[in-house]
Amino acid sequence: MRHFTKLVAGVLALAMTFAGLAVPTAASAETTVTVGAVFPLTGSLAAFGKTSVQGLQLAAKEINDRGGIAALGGAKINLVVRDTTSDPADAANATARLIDDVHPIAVVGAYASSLSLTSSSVCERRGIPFLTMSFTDDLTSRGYKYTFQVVPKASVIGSKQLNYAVDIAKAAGDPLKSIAIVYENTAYGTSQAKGLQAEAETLHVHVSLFEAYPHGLTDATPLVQKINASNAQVLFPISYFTDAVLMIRALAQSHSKVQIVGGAAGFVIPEFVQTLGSLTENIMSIDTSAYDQYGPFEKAYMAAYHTFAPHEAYENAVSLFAIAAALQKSRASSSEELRNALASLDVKGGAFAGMPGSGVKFNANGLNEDAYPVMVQWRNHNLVTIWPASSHGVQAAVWNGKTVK
Amino acid sequence: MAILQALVNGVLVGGVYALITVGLTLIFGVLEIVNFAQGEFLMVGMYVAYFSYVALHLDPMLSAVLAFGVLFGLGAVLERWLVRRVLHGPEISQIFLTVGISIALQNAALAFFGADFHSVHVPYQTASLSLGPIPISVPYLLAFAWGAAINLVLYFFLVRTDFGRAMRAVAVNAVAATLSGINVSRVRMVAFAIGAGLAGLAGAVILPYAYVYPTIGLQYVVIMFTIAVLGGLGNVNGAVIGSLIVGITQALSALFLPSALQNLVVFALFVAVLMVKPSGLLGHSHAH
Repeated sequence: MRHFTKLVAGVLALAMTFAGLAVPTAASAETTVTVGAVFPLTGSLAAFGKTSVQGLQLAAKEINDRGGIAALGGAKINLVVRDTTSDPADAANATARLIDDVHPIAVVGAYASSLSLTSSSVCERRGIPFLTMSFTDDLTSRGYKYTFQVVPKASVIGSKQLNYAVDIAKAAGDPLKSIAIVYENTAYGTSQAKGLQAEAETLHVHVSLFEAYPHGLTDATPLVQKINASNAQVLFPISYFTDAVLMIRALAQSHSKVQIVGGAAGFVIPEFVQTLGSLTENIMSIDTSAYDQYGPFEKAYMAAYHTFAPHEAYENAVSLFAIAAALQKSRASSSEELRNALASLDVKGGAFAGMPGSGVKFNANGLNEDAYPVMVQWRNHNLVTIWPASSHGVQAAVWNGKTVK
Repeated sequence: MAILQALVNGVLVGGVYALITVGLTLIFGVLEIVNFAQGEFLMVGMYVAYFSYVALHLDPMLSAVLAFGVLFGLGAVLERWLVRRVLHGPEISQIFLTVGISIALQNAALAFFGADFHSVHVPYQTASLSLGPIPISVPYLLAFAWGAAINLVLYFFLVRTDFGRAMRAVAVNAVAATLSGINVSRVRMVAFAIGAGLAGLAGAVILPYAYVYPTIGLQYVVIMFTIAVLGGLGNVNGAVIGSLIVGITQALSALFLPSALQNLVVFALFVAVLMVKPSGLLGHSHAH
């Protein structure tokens, strides 16, 4: 009994210590701005959620180290991260709970389009701005007032993926005649593949293989046999990381020389080169930001995490920088005021320089209208931006072993 | 030509499937428990091979032995402290236990190893041999060789050694085995440990052409169960035959059907077999 009393006393003392600790935090609440972050930290998309959060944390640190939001008396960004898991229903629940628990002024999330769709619906109902770097067109075509998409949308990405490839091939003197499209049979894969197929028809490029496969392959050899039989010049795989790895290794085993043009996602993350090594050489991918233009963010990311900053890390950071810029401009103290400030935001250069088009300016639907995708290429284990040729700081593309002037 | 190539690929993949599946079917045969954590044992084996490669530059074909050892130990501990307690309980507790182990292992991997994708770099990773005009993938061939070797060893162990015979005796009739002086608890523990060890070994062996992350087991577990049930759950030879059938069927049907329907023929075959023989190809009403 005595032991029990001691235990209870101990627990109470401990609880009071923590309660005591909580007081100063509460007192300083006036000088912090809470921003929510909802990302997949478990399940098959966890790797991408982790890098997204790392980018956001770096951005928050940078803003706070520079004295916070000056217009709000140096208010610091307080980033609250929640796990959406890799399931859209869980993403909605996590977002709702986050809003109830900490009342964020805005929410950033949720990497994958399927997760962002449900999270953004919750934010729309609660009147909280939701900033995202997910690709799907649906995000900004539903007439939502509170959703802001900092990257170009999927249909544009899909069509540019082919357009740029056609242009590069032409510049290399090797006109593009036939392509193979293989895609995972999910919402993401199907929509992007159909966009590509439609664009190929407009550009009179023959699609010699249009093949869906079940996501989560355990063996890619039958698929690769079909790719080889199609004799296409270029392969457009629309896959996350895992299926792409199996496919690229099986292609190498079959001595295939097909030029691969990936659709961002798994093709542009550090694990891609860590896993595939020199097999990545000259593989191209469409992408939504320009690595060579990230500036100090890139250096800070490298110092903190020892890999280059993947695009989702940078673009989520851009979302937070946009929130900070809107707060600075408007001195917003409510989500409603912040929403209006974001809607009229027009920032360029500096921290935003890595966004092709160089900045963030949302149209009436909340889409960053000046942003356009770029083509990047793996060169000696690094990603370089190669197209459009007019873009800032591009390097020459290599097409079928030939350097394109 | 294309058909021959598909046949060769199918046999190779089938051999790999046999390696992945045989542990599951062994555990069911002896313990009569469906181990839903088998995919996670595979995942742990892949991590063992990955870390051996990073720390010791050990080729996964060699660290496969280490992965077997680690998973054998983990399997023995899990059987002794957890599985044994539910063996005579209702089936629902057995399901909850093994599903629970699977979730716990996934989350432990996430906590300790992180969510990142990992793989290894070995010289033969993208190599292929030429059999006439047909390229044969070296990493698949090595995995196939391991699968064939393991199944031979397992066959001799079960047929020729006393402990193997004891294991089969427990599988046929545990009560009679007890009455003949066999230590049934020990046999079950070793069977579970070997089953787990084989999954670990398989994980290491497939790493050169695959990759690992905490929930990778989920990708393999469906194929494991399909093959084990097709061949007759609990029958080791059935698992081998089922693996070859599934591997070849997948490869051949991909020639004529869209890849998205790769498993359509497999599952149609699966349903057809179970309609004629509900206990699977080599299954009996009692496990052997």
